[in-house]
Amino acid sequence: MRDLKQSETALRELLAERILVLDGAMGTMLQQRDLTAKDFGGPALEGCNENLVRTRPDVVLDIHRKYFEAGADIVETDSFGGTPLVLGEYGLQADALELNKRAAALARQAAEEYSTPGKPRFVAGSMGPTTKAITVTGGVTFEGLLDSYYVQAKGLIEGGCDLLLVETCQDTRNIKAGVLAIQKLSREIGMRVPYLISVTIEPMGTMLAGQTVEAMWASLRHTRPLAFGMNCATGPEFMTDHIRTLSSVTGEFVSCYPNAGLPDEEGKYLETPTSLAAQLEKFVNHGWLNLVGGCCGTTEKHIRAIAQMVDGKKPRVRPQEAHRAIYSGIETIEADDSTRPLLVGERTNVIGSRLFKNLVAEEKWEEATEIARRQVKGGAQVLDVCLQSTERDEKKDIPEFYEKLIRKIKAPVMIDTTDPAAVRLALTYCQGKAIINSINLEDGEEKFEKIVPIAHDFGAAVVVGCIDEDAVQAQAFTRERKLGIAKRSYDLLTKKYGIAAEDIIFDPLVFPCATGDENYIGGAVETMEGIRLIKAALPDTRTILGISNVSFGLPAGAREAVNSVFLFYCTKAGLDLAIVNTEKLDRFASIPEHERRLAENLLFQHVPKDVKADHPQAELLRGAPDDWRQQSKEQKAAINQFHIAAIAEHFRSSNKKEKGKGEELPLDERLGNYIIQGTRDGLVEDLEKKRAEGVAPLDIINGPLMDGMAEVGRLFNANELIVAEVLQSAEAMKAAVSHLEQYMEKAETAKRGKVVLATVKGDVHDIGKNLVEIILKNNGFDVVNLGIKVPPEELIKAYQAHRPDAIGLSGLLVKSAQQMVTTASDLKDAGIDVPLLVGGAALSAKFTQQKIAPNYSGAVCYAKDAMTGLRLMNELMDPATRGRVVSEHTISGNGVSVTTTVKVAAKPSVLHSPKVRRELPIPEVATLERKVRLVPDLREV
Amino acid sequence: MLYGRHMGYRGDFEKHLAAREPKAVELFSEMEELKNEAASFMKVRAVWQFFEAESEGDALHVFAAGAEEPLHTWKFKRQRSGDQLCLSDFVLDAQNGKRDHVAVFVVTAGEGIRARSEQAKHEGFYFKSHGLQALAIETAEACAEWLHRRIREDWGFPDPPEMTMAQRFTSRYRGKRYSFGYPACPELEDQAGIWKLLRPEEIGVQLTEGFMMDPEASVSALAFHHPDCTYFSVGEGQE
Repeated sequence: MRDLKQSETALRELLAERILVLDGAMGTMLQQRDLTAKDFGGPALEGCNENLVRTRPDVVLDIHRKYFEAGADIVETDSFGGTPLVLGEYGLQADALELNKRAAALARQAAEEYSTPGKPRFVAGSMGPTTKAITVTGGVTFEGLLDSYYVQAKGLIEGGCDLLLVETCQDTRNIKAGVLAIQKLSREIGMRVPYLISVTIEPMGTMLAGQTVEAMWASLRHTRPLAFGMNCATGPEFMTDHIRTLSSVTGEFVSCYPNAGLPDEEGKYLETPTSLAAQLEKFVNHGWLNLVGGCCGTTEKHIRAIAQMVDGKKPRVRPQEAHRAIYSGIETIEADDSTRPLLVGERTNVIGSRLFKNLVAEEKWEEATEIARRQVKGGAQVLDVCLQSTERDEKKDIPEFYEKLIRKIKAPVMIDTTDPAAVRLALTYCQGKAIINSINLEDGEEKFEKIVPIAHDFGAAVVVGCIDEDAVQAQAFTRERKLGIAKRSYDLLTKKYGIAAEDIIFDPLVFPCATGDENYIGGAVETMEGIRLIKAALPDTRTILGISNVSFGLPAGAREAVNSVFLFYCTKAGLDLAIVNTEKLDRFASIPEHERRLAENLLFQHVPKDVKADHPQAELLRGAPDDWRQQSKEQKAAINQFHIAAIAEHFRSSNKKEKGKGEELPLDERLGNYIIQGTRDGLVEDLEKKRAEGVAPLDIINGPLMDGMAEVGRLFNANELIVAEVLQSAEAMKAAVSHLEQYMEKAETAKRGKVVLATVKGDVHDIGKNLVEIILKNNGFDVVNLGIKVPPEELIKAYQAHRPDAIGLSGLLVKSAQQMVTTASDLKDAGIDVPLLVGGAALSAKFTQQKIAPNYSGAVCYAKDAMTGLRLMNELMDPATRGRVVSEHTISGNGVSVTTTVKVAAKPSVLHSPKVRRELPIPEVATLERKVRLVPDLREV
Repeated sequence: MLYGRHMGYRGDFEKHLAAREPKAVELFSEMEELKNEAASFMKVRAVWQFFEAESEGDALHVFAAGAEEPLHTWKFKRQRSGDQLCLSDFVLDAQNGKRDHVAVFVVTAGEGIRARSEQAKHEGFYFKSHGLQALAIETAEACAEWLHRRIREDWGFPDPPEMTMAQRFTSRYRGKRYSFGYPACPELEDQAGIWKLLRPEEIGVQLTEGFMMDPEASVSALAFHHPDCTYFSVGEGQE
C-alpha cells in the first residue's frame, strides 16, 4: 500500500504547477489486440476486461507502458467494471478484491518503471458507475452499492493505487455511495484516500439521473475530492459549457478526459489525436483544466498529442469558493439576495396536514406524493417532508414515500425529523443537497453529535433552532436570546463540528401573536429583530421561519393576511427561507390597505390611534409607549386584545363578502387582477365573458391583460412582489394568452420572420421573454420559445433546427448578463451570426456594446424592452433598414468605437466605375446658401 | 410603410382600406386621430445646402464657393466586384474651372416626440406611444422625399407633373440620395462630416456617440444629380 498522504501532497503540488496528463482508453486499446475467448479465460468470460489482469497481465501491462511512454502522468487501472456488482454478471463477484488488487499492482509496476524524480508517475484506481444507476434503473440498494464500491476501493488501494477515480458517473446517488465507501476505507486504514469525481453529461445537458454539472457540484462539494471533472459521453465539443461552469464554481482541481468525439454509425470515434488535442487546447487556453486525458476511442497517439499540447501551458488556478448557500434536488436553488425568501412548502407534513397524514396512514403513496408535486407547482422552491409521528414507523414509510417523491419533484427536500436514523435513510434517496430540519441545544450538544456526522456524510445543510438548555424558557423569545443562542451554536458548529457557515440555517422561532397569551406579546417584533441581529452578526449563515405559526388562533381569512404581512416584514429584515403553505399565501400587494394595517398593528403591537372615548381601557391604551418592551403588563395585554378584536371582527364581518369579492369588480379590472394576483381561478370564464362582449382576443391581451402585466412590473419594482409571485403572474398571462390563441387568426400570409427566444442558463425569469414573445407573435413573427435556463448548446441546436432570423436572449439577474457573453461566444464558435437581441434588467446598452458584442460575429442589439425588441426585429426584417441596424450593432462593423482590423482582400483596381458616365454637362444650381426651414404643415408633405 | 412596418398591419393596407376591411379602417381612423393630434405639436424642420464638389478616386471633396481647400472630404468605399461603384463616381469632373455640386441635408420630425411617446407608454397608451414614434419617423422620411424634390428642382430637374407620389417613393427620378449607415456608405462616423458642414443642431438634431441621430425621427443624406445613380452595396462585411 502506498503512503497516500505523500501521494496526495505530490499530486496537489504538481497539479498547481502544471497540467497533468491522464491516460486514454483501456477498452479501445484492448480491442486492437484482437483478444480471443481464451485470452479472457473462456467463452463465459469473453468481454470481461477486468479478468485480463489475471489471464493476460502482459497485455494490460503493455498498455500501461504505452501510455506512460506517450507522456501520461497518471494511468488508470484495468478495473472499470471491477465492483462485485458488475463482476457478478460473470460470476466473478467473489474475486473482486483480488482482481482489483492485481489491476492496481500491474499499473503500479509500470509506474515504477517510468517514474523519475522529475516526472513521477501515478496510479489511479478506476471505479466505474457499475451497471446500475440507482435512481434510474434501481435494482440495487444504496447500502448494497456502498458495500460493492467498498470492496473495489479496498482492493485498489491495497494493490498500490495513489488515488481513486470515481468515474463516468451518471447518478449522484451512486457517487454518494462510492464516496461514502472510500471514506469508510479511509477511516479503516487511517489515511485519507484521495479521489476524483468525474461525471458524464449526456447530450441533453444533464447526467442520466437528471442533475446538471452545477447541481452535481452543489450536491458533492462537501466531499472535497481532489478534483471534479467530466469524462466520456459526447466528446469535447459539447462539454464546453459544462466544463466552463464546473471550472467557475469549484475550488477543487478540474479534470476532463473526453471520448474521441461521438461515435459514428459503426461505433468508430472520429476525433484524431490532433483534432482532439486541438479541442482540449481551447479549454486549456481558457484556464479551465488541471488534469486532462482521453476516454473511449482514444489511444496512446491521442495521449501523446495531448501531452505535447499541454506542455508548458498554465494550469487552472483554483478560485476561492464563496459562501454560497445552494440546495439541490435534481435542480439547484440558491439562497441569496436575489431569491429571498425561498418558499418551503409545508403541506407534506403528517403533523401539519391532516390530508397528508391520512394518505400516509392509508399508504396511498401516489396521492401523498401528489401533494408534494402540487406544492412545487404552487410555488414551493424547497419541500419540507415530515413523516415522523407516534403512530407509524417512519423508517418504513421513508423508502415508500421517497422512492416516488424523487421521481416527481426536482426541488430540494427538507427532511423534517428528529430521528438520526430516519435522517440518514431519507438522505440516501436524495441526489441533491438536502436540508435537515432540525437540531438545537435543548439537550446540550446531543443532537449536534448525532446529526452533524450524517450531515457531513451526505453534505446536507442544517436548520438550527434558537433553543437551548434553559430550564425556564428553552425557546428563545427575546431578540437578545435568539442572537445569543445562534452565536453559541455557530461557534460550536463551525469550530467543533466543522460545518460550513453557509450550511447553517437559523430558525429564530415564531410565536403566535393572537392567542391572548401574555408571554407571547411582542413575539413577532422579537422574531423580526432576531433575524436582523443574526444576519448582521453571522452574515454567512441563513435564516428560516415557519411563518404560519404567527397567526395561530385567528379566523382563516385573518390568518392569511397576517401571515403575508409578517412574511413581508421578515423578508425585509433579512429572512432567507420561509416555510409556508404556498397555495394559501396572499400577496402583500393584494391585501387591502385597511387589512394590512390591522395586521401590522397586531404584529408590531402598535399603540392604537382610534380608540373610542367610551372604550373601557381607553386610558390604558392611549398613554402607552411605542416600543412594546416599554409597555406595562396591563398596557401590553390591553393593546394586544384591542388589535386581536379589531382584526377578528373585520374578518368575521367580511367573511361572507369574501366569496363574491372578485365578481363585484368590473370585468376589465378582474381580468387584470388575474394577472396581478397570478391566479387562474375563473380566468377562462371571465375571458369568455369578455369575448362575448365582442372584444377581439388581441385587444383583450393588449388591453386588460397587459395592464395587469404592467402593474405586476410596477409592483415588482416597488419590492411588493417577490420573484416567485412574478413567475405566477407570468404563468397566468400565459394561460390567458393560450386560451385566447385558439380564437386568433392564423397569419394569413407568410410569417414576417422567425425568432428563437431563450432565457439564458442559470436564470429562471420567464416574464420579460414571454412579453417579448407575446408582442412578437402578435406582430406576425414566428417565435420559438426555448423557455428558461437554456444552455448555449441547446440554443445552437435550436438554431440548427429552426434557422431563425434572429435570436433573443433574456435574463434578469446580474450573472445572466455575464452568461449572455459566454452564450454569444459559444454561438459564435458554432458559426452562428444572425442578429442577437438581448434584454433584461441587469443589462445596459453599454454592457451590450462593450462586453457582449465583441464576443459575437454578428449584430448584438440591446432591446431595453419588448417594444424595442419588436422595433429591432421589424427593422432587421426590412431590407431597407436591415443594413443600418446590423452595421450599427456589429462591433466589427461601424457605429461603435472599436477599430476594425479585418484585412481587406484585394484593393479595387479601378478609380472610377465604368458604369458611371463622366462626359455629362454639369447642371447649374440656384444657390449655394445654407437653408433652414420649418415645414409648416404636415399635410403639405 | 407606416401601417405595415410600424403598426404591424399584415397584407396590402391600401387595398384593404379601399375594400373597407374593418381592421384596416379601424387602424386608419386611429392613426388619423393620432395624426390630427400630432399635427398640433409635431414640428418638421429641415436644413440643407448645395456644395461645390470634386471627386478624387474614392474621395469626395466638398468646397465653399470657389475655395481652394475643401471644407470636408469623405472617403467612401468602392465595390470589390461587379460594377465597382463608389459614391464619388457620381460627381462629375470640373469643366472649364466649374465644379459639380452635391446637396447635403438633414430633416427631423422628432422634436418632443420621445417625451410624449414615453409619457403615453407610461400611461399605458401603448398604441399611442408606439404610433407617435412611428408617425414621426415616417414623417421625417416623407419630409426627406419632399426636400429631395425641391433639391432636384433647384438643380433644374423638376419631376414631371404627372409623376405620382408612389412613383416618387420608388425613386423614379434623376439622381439619388444616400444616407450614411446604408449599404452604399455604411460608415456612420461619416455623419460627422454632415454635422460639420450643416450644423443641424440648429434644427435640434444631435449626433450620439455612436453617430446616430437624436431624435430618432430624423433623416440625413447626400443628394447627387447624376442620372447613373443607383443604390448599391459596398459589402460592408469585407472591411
